[in-house]
Amino acid sequence: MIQALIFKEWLKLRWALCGLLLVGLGILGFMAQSLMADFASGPAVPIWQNLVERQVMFFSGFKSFGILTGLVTALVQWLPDTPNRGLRLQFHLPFPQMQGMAVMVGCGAGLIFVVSLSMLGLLLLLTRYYFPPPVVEAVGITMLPWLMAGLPVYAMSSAALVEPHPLRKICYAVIGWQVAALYLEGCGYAGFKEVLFSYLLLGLGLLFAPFLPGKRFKGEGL
Amino acid sequence: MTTLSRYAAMAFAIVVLATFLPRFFWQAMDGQQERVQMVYSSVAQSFLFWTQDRYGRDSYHFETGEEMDRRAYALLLPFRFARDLVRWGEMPEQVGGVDVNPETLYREVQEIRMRPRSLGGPEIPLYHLLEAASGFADLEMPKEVLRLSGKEAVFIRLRDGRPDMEKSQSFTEALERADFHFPAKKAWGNPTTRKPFDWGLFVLDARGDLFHLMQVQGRAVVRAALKDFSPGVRHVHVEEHRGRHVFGMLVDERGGVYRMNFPDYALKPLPLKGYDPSTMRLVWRRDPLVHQYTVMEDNALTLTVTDHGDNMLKEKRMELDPVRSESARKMASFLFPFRIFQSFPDSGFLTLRADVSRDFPLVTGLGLFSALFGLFLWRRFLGISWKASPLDWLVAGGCGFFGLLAIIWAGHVPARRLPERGKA
Repeated sequence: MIQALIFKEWLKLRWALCGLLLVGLGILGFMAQSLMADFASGPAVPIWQNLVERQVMFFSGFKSFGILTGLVTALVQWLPDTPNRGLRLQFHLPFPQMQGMAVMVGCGAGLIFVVSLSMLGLLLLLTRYYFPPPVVEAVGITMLPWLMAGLPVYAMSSAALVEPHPLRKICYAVIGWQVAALYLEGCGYAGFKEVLFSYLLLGLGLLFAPFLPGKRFKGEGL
Repeated sequence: MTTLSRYAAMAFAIVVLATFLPRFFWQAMDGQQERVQMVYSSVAQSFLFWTQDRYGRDSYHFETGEEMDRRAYALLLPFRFARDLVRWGEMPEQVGGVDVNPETLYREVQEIRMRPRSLGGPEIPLYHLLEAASGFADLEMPKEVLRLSGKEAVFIRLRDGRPDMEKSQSFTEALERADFHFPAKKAWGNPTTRKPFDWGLFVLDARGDLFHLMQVQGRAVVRAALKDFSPGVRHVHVEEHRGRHVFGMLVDERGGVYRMNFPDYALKPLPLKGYDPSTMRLVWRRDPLVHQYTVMEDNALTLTVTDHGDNMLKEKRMELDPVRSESARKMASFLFPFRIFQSFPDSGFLTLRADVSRDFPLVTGLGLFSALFGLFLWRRFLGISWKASPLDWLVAGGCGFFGLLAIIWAGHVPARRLPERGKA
């Protein structure tokens, strides 16, 4: 049953995966082209001054990518199942409901991890091509919370889509947005260095949020 | 799983509410404070004040409250408004028995500003080490960056990102000869070409000793600035000034602040009581006669005047109108038993820390009790047993209205079956 559920989710999510990877590759391509043009067009000193002293981030195009990933994944995964109550059919399968929900949330979160880690890896490769290891490390630590913002956005968008009560829907959306804002807080390079793990735990903890709306969606008056 | 999901959602709701609600509250309730500058006039031998109200209107007055116009204010501060006084032909030849030469005055007047946020923050550990004696009039940004965080000094060429092996080796050897231990913990400098000369970097080595590193005609000049400094160095504010009075300011790990004198790196503790560099701003101003230390707190301003031997001449503390009224602070204590902050006051790094309200403990207690009573009323209204979900009482009692709102939003578990319409 678990394999069947995973296959069902794969059918829904595969185009989202392709689309997000394409968007990410597009941003990376644009970044690579800009860097190449900057280095080719004049002296390298201002580029490095911007990077090290003024902390101008050449990869800031990725700042909203985590949010986009979380939002697209949630919409693609839950939107086909919620308006016409398709999710209820799943809840009546001879399979523990919350386990089924966990498989779905796991698939969504898995897609976010795959897309985020692929983009992070490619960005670090690109950075290493132009800059030495301390810059690569700083870029990686700066980028991680931006990508992690996808988890709260995914969790709370999923909860908002599954939740039947309109006021609670709005609350889930607002809380998800505000938690994501914590991950995107402006700071210099690697400002989250000491607290990355705590923020990752926060994001992972939020993945439990859609279960209660799932229970309500099934019609159990909570 | 449902219970876990409910408490997870509640926890995040509380985090969000405790982060953003107080922020919005204070955005709405914070008042405006007049801008005040307190300075010492060596001519009048008294404190002078410049204030700007919320409408941008300036006023100038003496300590006694007597008002004056802008020109009179400038005439009493010849070191601060030297260019204006020279333009008006009103520059005195002597002030306080000291000859004043407008052409060399710029060497005698220096100002350094320190903010709590400048004490630390995220950075890429690569440093621009300017050439200090290029032979040209203007400074130039170097064509390589210096990395000291490894086992040796490495100069990385900017054009191709590759190390300059020869220069790296020469600097590594020079540093090791001076008893520098790699890797460097931190380095401070002033990497700009808009200064009269370059003092290079002050580098903290692996053992906590402070070294002064300069590049002179492509070669390393290394001096041990501080050895076995027991509180440990937290921050060095480097500032090149034509007068070469000090290298800058040094902050130790215990919050002590010192002037680092030129040329012997001798540390002179600032003659300030109760100054905390982690929470207060400081302006140090030196002129031919006195040193002025202005310490700015949220609701107070303190100006200490000393002679060049750091003997205190005058001191004045001025309480400013509080930005936050007492009623607003009481309301905040009632509604918000704690706040969650994402930042530190004295660092650019981020965190997630709770700051418990200590302003009015009784009012905070009343707020927590009101939240508990609110939960009781809500449960009574919905007909939920008081024994159900006992952790909810702890959440409301510990988190106050944040907890109550989160509980109401998350709903109740286990299900309370509602009677079907028509059958009730």
